Amino acid sequence: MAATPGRVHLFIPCFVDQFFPETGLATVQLLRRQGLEVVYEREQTCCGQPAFNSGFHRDAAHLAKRFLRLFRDAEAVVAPSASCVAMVRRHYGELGLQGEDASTWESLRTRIWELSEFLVDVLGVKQVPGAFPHRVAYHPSCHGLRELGILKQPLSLLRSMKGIDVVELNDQERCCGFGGTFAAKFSALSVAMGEDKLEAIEKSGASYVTATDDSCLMHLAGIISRRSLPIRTLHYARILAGESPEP
Amino acid sequence: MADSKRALQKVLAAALERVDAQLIVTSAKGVAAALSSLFDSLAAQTVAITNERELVDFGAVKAVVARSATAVVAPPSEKRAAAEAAEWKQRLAGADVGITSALAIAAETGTLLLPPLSPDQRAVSLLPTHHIALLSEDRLVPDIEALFAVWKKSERTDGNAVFVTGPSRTSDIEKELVLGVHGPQSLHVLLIR
Amino acid sequence: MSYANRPKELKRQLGSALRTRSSDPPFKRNTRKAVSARADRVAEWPDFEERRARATARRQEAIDTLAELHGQLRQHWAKNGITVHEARDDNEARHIALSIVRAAGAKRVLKSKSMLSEEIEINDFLEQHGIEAVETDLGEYVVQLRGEAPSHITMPAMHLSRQNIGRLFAKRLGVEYTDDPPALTQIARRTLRRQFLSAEVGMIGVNFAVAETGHLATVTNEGNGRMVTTLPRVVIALLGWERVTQSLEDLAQLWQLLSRSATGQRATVYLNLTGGPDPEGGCPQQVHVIVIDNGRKRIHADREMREVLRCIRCGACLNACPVYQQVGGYPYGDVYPGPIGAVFTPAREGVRSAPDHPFASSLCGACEEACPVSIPLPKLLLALRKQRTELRSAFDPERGLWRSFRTVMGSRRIYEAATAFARGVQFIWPGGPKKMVIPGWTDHRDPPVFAKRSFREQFDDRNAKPEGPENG
Repeated sequence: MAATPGRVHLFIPCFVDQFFPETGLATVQLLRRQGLEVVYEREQTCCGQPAFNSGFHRDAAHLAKRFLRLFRDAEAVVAPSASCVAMVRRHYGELGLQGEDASTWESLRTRIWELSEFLVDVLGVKQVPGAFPHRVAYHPSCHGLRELGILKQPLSLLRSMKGIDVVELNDQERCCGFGGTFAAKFSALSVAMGEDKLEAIEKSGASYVTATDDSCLMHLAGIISRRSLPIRTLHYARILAGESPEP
Repeated sequence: MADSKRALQKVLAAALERVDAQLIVTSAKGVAAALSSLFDSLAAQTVAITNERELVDFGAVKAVVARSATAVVAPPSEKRAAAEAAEWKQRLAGADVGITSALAIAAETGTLLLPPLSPDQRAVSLLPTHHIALLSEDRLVPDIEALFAVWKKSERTDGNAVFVTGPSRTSDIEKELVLGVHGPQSLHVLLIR
Repeated sequence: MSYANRPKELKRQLGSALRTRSSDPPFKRNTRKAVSARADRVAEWPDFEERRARATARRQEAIDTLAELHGQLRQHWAKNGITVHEARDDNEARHIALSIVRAAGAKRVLKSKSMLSEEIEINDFLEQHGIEAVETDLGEYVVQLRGEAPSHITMPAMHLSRQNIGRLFAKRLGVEYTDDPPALTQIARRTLRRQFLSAEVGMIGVNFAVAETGHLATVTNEGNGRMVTTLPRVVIALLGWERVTQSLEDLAQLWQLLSRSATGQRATVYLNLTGGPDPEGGCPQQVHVIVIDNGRKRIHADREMREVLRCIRCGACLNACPVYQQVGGYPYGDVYPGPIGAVFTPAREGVRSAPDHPFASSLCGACEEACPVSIPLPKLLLALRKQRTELRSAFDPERGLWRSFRTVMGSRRIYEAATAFARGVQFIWPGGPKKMVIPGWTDHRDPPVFAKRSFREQFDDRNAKPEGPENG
């Protein structure tokens, strides 16, 4: 993509739509700040990843085709969720798409980004206004880190804010334990992994943990709440958009 | 030329130290003294040595024989009775030191390529408690790839080959390093100018 | 130690492992040490990624031309006096090994570490036929004395503390208690030396067979591989059908990658290349290779799964895996645990034999990242999950679940109706949802809470206002 787009389509995954709308709203704000027109295609629902991850390719393919048709003509698609973007960019190719769907995918996969990728790599944003005078632990969600190579982008944006202290944990790349349906199917294991992540966060002295994916944060928040830990989860988009933390 | 040789030797020294092996650089004339001093520090009573021509040329055999402790010299390779073979293995297993030459050594890792030997003689680098390997400094090569190249060029690539990097070791108990499991407890490389 | 039914119990085993583990289990500590050591070695090679890419390509090429490579091997073996046996499965392999031992008139086999020998469960079989099988790798020796299976591919006793081992030796070998690792090692050295010197038959697992020359390459750090291929009269070498590399140059690369990935070493202490029996009539007088299929050809025939055969058994994926770090190897119930096991076991035996294995992963990808031959384990796990789905009956509740999911997500209207309903339930009965819907989630976690107004609703509200305070 040569020129920067003027018009951006949002993809807001179902769990963000229902559980973390603030992340979506922050995304809108951040994009509008860059002078972009933000379009929200009402019919959108899900990229199909949960079905795919469970081995139900036909159901996933049905939803994938729907997604592709919905966003076919978008100049750019931006989502505050690395795992969904990874699903579209990489795994749609494993669903046996044919003909027009396949060519739509080949084209669309070059025009869909996770939010921080879009801001930093496409728009060249280096600085974000505002302050967030707290210590924040960054958790690199696995799909973003390993499938999309996202690490520097959210970190650079966060660190450009005043007063913020972003800590990268030791062994930060260790999975938090969410893993989609893994979290429910192997819940004790999933929670054990989350507890290790939270232990590292507590040790770092951070009062916040942030990530590219609300799914990871939702899982951690569930443990935090059950165990009354002194850590808050907050998607990085919300930090960048200037959301002031609840008292 | 001399500089790069020295540089490679420095790399080798570091590599051997990392794998808990010792490097001794000596002149041809100094071999006997170096060996004698090693025997002292290892409190070596029994020494086994292969019958390689090269070790004779280095003066190693003389040094071993000259030592007043009981020396054990490997018999020539030929068909022997099973009982003799068994007795030979026992003597080797009880020896303090085994001495062999080496075809080459890799500076990056300190890996030795042992010379092609009959099974009895191969055991000289395996059964005694300590292993000393002698080789001339022009056998020093940069890395493992070069080591394999040396072996390929040598005659016996259908036979057995052994690559040795330091003394025998394990971390099987709580990942704590222990030397001298089944093979030698220490390895000493004599690089001869 | 029989693996026959254990893979099916994965979920139960995982749960039990989590409940019964100590607060700082050894496998957590040890895997982290291993990960760190590997990282140091990788950092030393500025061209690591290129080497890895080359090794990956060469390994794949070898897998794709296995028939040809095996042809080359047999030519060399015939010339050098190595006797070849073909075993279709573990049963055939066991019988072949037994017949070799019997023909040698031996009552005892000294073994150097071999995962393949575990896979075919040779030890119990030999014992049943009056032949003692002695493990000589220190970690294997320890778990054998305990009557256990190894819990890790390259560190068999990873799950044990020094005190465990000290008490074991005191009890089983009649020595005075010590938990000092050097002293414990000396005890094992003395005990096993007596065995080495009187051994008639040695058994090794071949790390790689080299097609160019016919060599059987074995790596060890302890020296037991050399012991059992140099001292006994008869050597039995177990070779997995896929463990063939093309040339000595390839071997040089794979050996280094294996060393760095498995234990963070630049080179294992010993690389032993066995060419054949001693031409002068010394030991070994006989060298037998048993080439073992046991499901590997089945994997090979499956184009999607074939690339798992690149595996060089370094165990780096185990060390990197956040699941393995939590529970260690035993729950997997098979000789190959961790990410590689989660693929290899169902791939070899059919996904029905280990139906939960492909799902016991968060698909984080740390395994693929650590793999020196770039095996895309998450992709293969997903492929196995798809195979599992294809085996589900039409009435399997999961089919229904995903059909509903597809219906709900397939239409914005239905989606909005469903979510509005769920939100309503939560409003009326706030405590209720905490125990419902997604079984498993709420055992140890609080569930997420539906926002009063979804993103879509708020976006519509604010559409006129380009920027507004975001207070949720």
